Amino acid sequence: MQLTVNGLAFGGLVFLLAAGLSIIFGLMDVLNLAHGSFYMVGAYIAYTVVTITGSFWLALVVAPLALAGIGIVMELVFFRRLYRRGHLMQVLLTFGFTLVFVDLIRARYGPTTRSIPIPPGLGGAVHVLGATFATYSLFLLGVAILVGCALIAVSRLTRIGAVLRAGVADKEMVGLLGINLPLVFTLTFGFGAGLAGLAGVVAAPELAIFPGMDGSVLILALVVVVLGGLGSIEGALIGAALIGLTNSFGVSLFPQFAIAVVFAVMALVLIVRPSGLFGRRT
Amino acid sequence: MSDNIEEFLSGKLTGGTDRRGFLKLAGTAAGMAALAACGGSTTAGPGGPTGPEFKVGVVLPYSGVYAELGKSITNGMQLYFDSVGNQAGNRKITVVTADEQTALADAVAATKKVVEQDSVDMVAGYVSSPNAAGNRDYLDGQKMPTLIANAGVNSLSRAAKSPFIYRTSFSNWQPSHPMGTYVAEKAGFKKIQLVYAKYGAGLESVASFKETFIAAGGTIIGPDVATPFPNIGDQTPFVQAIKSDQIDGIYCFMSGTDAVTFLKKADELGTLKKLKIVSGSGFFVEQDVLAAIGAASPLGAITGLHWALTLQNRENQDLIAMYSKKYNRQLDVFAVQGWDTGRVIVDSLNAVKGKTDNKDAFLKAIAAVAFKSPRGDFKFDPATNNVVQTIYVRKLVNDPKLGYTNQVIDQYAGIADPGK
Repeated sequence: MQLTVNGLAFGGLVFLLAAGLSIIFGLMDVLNLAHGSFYMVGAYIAYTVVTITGSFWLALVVAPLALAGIGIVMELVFFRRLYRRGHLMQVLLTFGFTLVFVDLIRARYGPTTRSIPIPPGLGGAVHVLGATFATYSLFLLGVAILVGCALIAVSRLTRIGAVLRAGVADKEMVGLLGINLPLVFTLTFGFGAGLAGLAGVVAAPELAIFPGMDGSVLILALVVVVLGGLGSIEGALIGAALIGLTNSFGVSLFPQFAIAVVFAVMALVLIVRPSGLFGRRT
Repeated sequence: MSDNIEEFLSGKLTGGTDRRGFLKLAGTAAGMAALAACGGSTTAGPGGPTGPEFKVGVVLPYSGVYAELGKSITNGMQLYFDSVGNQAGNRKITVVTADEQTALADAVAATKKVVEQDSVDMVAGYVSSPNAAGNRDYLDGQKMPTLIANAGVNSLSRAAKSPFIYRTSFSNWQPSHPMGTYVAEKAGFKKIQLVYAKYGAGLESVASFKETFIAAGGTIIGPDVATPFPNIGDQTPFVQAIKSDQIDGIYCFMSGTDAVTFLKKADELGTLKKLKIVSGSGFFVEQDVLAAIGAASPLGAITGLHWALTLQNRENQDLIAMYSKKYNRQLDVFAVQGWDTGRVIVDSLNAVKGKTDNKDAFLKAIAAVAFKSPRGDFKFDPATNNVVQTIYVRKLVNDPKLGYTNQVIDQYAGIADPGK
C-alpha cells in the first residue's frame, strides 16, 4: 500500500506534465520538447516567489499564469509558422528552445542546486495502518487527481472540450465549420504551458531545482504520452499512474533494473497496442 | 573583463598603469593572452618576469551539471595565481581554459584543443572521473605534465597511474577509508546499511568504508540501497528501503542534487531521525547541499572529507576571507582543490627556476611539492602520484554564525591511497 500510494503520487507529478504535452500534441500535432523547459521555468518562478514573499500558494497562482503567457507568445511568434513544415522542423525549434531556456536560467540563477521548503502544513508524514506516507506526496496526488478530473470533465462535457476533441479528430473539418482554429491553437498551447508551470511549482518543494531539471522529467512525460495514446487525457492519467507504480515497485523489487522496467512496460504496451492504451487506431 | 581592458587602455594612454593595474589585467581569463603579453613587455616594472610565458591549459566543466564545480576550481586556482602576481620561476603564468562539459567526447576535444592549438606547457582540471580516465592515455602519450583537480577514480592512482599525471584532489578511496574504523570503533556502531548513488564514485566510496568497517568488527546489513545516478525519479522508495528497525545507522555516498532530494524526502518521512547514526562521505552533506536543504539538514550526521569550512588553521581562515572578498561567495572544497592545484604549479615552476624543458626535472619538482594547505599538510605520494592528506571526521551542526555546517570532531592524518 505504501508503495502504491507513493508510486501514484510520483505518477501524479508526471501526469501534470504529460497532460499538457499530450493535449498540445493531440490537437496541434506539435511535439513540444520545450515543454520540460516550461516546467523548469515554473519551478524557478516558484523559487523566486517563495524566496521573496514566502508564500507557496501565491507561487501556485503566479507561475501557471506566467507560463501560459509565455506559451501564448511563443505560439503566436514561432509555432504558428511551423505547422505545415513537419515534425523535424518542430523538433529542431523546440529543442533549440530547451537550450535557450536552460542557458537563460543559468545566466540568471547560476548552476547551483536550489530548493524550497515544503509549504507549512504539508510537511512531515502521515501514518495509516502501519504505512508511512509523506504528507506532501498525498498533496501531489490530490492535485493531480483534481486536475485530471477537471480536464476530463471539460473535455467530455463542455463545448470547448467538444471543439478540442473534434480538432484532434479532424482539423480541416472543424475549420470548415467556422471555428477559429488558430485562436483555439494559441489558447491550447498557452493552457498546456500553464499546466507545465503548475507541475513545476508542485515539484519544486519535492525535487531539486537546477538548470537541466527539465530533461529528466520530460523523458518520463514522453513515455507517459506514448503509453497513454497521443492526445488522450484519460490515457495520460492511466499512463502516468502506470509509470509511477512501475517506478515505485520496480525500485523496491528489482533495484538493479528500476529504470529499465519503466521502459520495458512501455515496450510491452506498445507491442500489444501500438497506438497506446487510449490511442485511436489509425 | 571588458572593464579591465578599458582600465588598461586608458591607463596606458595617460601613462598611469601601475603594477597593480597590470596584475589585475593579467589576472583576466583566457583569450586575452596576446594583449596581456603586450602589456607585460611595456608596463611591467623591474622584477617582472622576463622568461617565456608559461601556459596552463585548464580543462574544467563550465556548462552542464558540473558547471558549479568547474567554476569553484577555476576561482580557487586563479586566486592563488593572483596572490603571487601571476608569475613563477621568472615566467608569466597564463591560463587557457577549455570546457570539459559532461560527456567524454567533449572533454577529449577540449584537451586536444589546449594541447594542440594552444600548445600549453601543462594541463590541469577534470571534474568527472570518466573524463579524467578517458583522457589519461592521450595525456600520457603526449608526456604532458597534468594535475587532476577533482576526479577521484581510484584507478588513476593504481593500475592507470602515469608518471606525467598527479592528483591534487583525492582518490575516492581516501575520504571514506577512516570512516569504517571511526564508526565501528570510536562511535561504537556495528550494524550499518549502505546507501549510495550507483556509479563509480558511489561504489568506490562505500567499498572503501566497508574494508575498514568489517575489519573493525562491523556488520553490513543488506540489501544495499543503490539509487540510479543521477536519480531522475522519486526518492521515496529508496528512503523507505532503509531498514531503520534492524540497523544502527547508514553510511551514504551521494552528492549534489541526488543528496538534496534524498535528504529532503528522508526528512519528510522522519527516517533518519530513527537512526542512531547517519554517516557518509562528506560530499553527502557538503556546503552546497546544506545551502539547498536548510532545515531539512540531518543534524548530527558524521561524515569524512579532506576539508571542512570550520577548519581553524590560518591558511583556511585566510583563504575563506580572501575568497569571499574576491568572489562574494563562501569557500568550498572544490575551490580549495583549485587553490592547491595553483600552488603546486607555482611551487614546482619556482623549484626549477622556470626551466621546464627538462621534463624529468620538472616532474620531480612537482612530486616534491609540499606545503601547508587550507586542508592541512599537503604532499604527494611517490608510489601513486596522489595527494597524501588528512581526512577529517565532521559532525553536522547548526552553527549560530555559519548556519548549517560541519564541525571537525576527529581527524586521521597522512591518509594515502594504497595504490592497488
